[in-house]
Amino acid sequence: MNETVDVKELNERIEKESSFVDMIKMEMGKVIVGQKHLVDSLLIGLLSDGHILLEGVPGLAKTLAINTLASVVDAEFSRMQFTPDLLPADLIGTMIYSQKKEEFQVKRGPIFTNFVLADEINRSPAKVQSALLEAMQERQVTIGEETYQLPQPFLVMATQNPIEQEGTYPLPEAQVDRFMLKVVVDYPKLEEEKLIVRENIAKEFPKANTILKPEDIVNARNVVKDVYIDEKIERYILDIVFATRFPEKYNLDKFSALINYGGSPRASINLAMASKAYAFIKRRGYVIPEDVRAVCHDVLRHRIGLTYEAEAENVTTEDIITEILNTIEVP
Amino acid sequence: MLQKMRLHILYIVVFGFIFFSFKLNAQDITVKAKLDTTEFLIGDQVGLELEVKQPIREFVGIPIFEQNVNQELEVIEQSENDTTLLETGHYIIKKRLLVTAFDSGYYALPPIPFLYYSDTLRTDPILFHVKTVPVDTSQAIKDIKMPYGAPLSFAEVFPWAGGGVVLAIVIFILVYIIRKLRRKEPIIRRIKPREPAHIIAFRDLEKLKKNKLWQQNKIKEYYTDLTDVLRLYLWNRYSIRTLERTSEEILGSLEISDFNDDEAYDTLKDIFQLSDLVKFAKFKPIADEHEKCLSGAYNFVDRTKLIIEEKKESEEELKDREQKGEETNMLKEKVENNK
Repeated sequence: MNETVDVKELNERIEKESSFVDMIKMEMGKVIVGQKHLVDSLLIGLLSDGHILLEGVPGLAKTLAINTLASVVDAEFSRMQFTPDLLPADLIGTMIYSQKKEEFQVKRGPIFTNFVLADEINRSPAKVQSALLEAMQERQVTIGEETYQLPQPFLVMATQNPIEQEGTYPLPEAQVDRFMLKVVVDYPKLEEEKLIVRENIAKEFPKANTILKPEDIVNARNVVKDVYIDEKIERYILDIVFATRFPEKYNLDKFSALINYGGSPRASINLAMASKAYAFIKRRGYVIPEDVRAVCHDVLRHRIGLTYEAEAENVTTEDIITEILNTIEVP
Repeated sequence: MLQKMRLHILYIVVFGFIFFSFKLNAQDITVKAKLDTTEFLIGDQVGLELEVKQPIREFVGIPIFEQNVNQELEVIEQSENDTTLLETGHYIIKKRLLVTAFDSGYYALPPIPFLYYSDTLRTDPILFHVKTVPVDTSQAIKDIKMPYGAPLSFAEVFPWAGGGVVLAIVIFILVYIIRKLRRKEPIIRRIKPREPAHIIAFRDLEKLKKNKLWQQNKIKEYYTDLTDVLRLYLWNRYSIRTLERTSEEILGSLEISDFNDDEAYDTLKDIFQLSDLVKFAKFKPIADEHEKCLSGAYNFVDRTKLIIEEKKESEEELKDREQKGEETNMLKEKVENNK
């Protein structure tokens, strides 16, 4: 079998550059039991420079996962508990007057770090959410008259509690769209939970070793961008996203009344990027339809708006995405 | 003389007994007439109830009104007699009339006669007032209101609707027949039996071969068409939704189905893997690979095609049938010999 030179080279390069993925997974596996999907999603976000919105009940190792990832990458990590009285300055920093120097000095906020865990993001008001999401998008923060670049890599993992909705400020659609992935974290399996209990009652809790530097991640991101995506796959991605907007054109007339708005162009971009990152994690130099399907739910579930009819009929975005995937012809 | 006197006395006693017993019974019979209301609007319809209470063996004739009760009251409808047996050994017979009046004023309904043998029993007279509609003369005169339209009932609509449907069906059939005749097509089309999956697949593979795509350097199109033929075949043959599934998912579906030909499975897997590399990773296989994939596809379809075989009789079944035939012949011969 003859391979064209560029794909062969690319595959070899990906093989070489992606070897750390298995190492990261192994190190994280020492601390995090199960939650493979969560770990994969973190890696996809990290490698494709996207942010992650996590939804799951408390106690599912969300904080532990990002903390472990930070320790594996030798990156800085900060956790912020979003509360109703939080102010944007608490997040990004502010100007403080120094009586000694008789001038205003910049005090940087906890957002100046590599990995940020924004816990229960929907508990704080819109102005704080907006400040965070702006920083996520621009990768920079303006305090006073100065603009400061955020460190690279910069990954925000925000959590939302699906229960206890009273006194919360739901993220607006435009803000949610800035998260590359929305990952639903589920309970561990019985055997997994047995291991979790054992680890936690043991004398010493397992610890992950540092195996990478933040620069390695930045380099890996460039390699991910080189992963080959064929025109057929691009067309497949666009078909999926367009089916969320115009379901009737894809023989999904039943969804016309259920979908209020479909995925934005950012959805198409993120679906392509996440597919590339997934192919990279699978140590492949090109994207196949399986990669698109593997990340499709996480990329699209927060980008489809449902109508009241859909809510009344208990139709979820999960159902819609699944049906779309089962209808669109695979190249 | 004394005997004659006794006979007269007896006559007097018998006559007196009969007379007094009739009187006694007549007193035991009551007749009543009652209007539902004694004050009603002109044209209103009110009920008039006639009631007779009588011992069981007596007979009182209840009057029958044809059109009017009297000059003022017109009869609209009247019920049958309603008889109730009381514990006291009496009947109560009721008759209800629906009456109306079209002249306003105070009127008396005279006693209504009930025939009782040669006697007549009468009800009490009833005074009633037929009122007119109060007219406000200070207001301007208005037009007479149009009569209210009664809603259409199902029974009224049904014949028309049913007729319409029948007419539409007849027109449709006529148009259909005329069209078919004009196009010189048979009026009743016979549905062709569905082609077997492998026939379609072989035809498509032959077409692919004739198109000579890879020879024209259209390698990607060649592998796309090749996998499409196999996907369509799998859908027709195993009812697996292949067009919306990836290669891995299709292979996974085959594994969980009753597919048990490992060699064919491996052939399909190789074709799918190579095709995916060509389609998505710019792979360019050598010419031999193209031919190998095509022959592999032929081979896969040939190995997995559904064969509907006619049941052939085994040798044992043939022998058994021959034996049975011989026995029958022997029996026939025996019967003829006995004759």
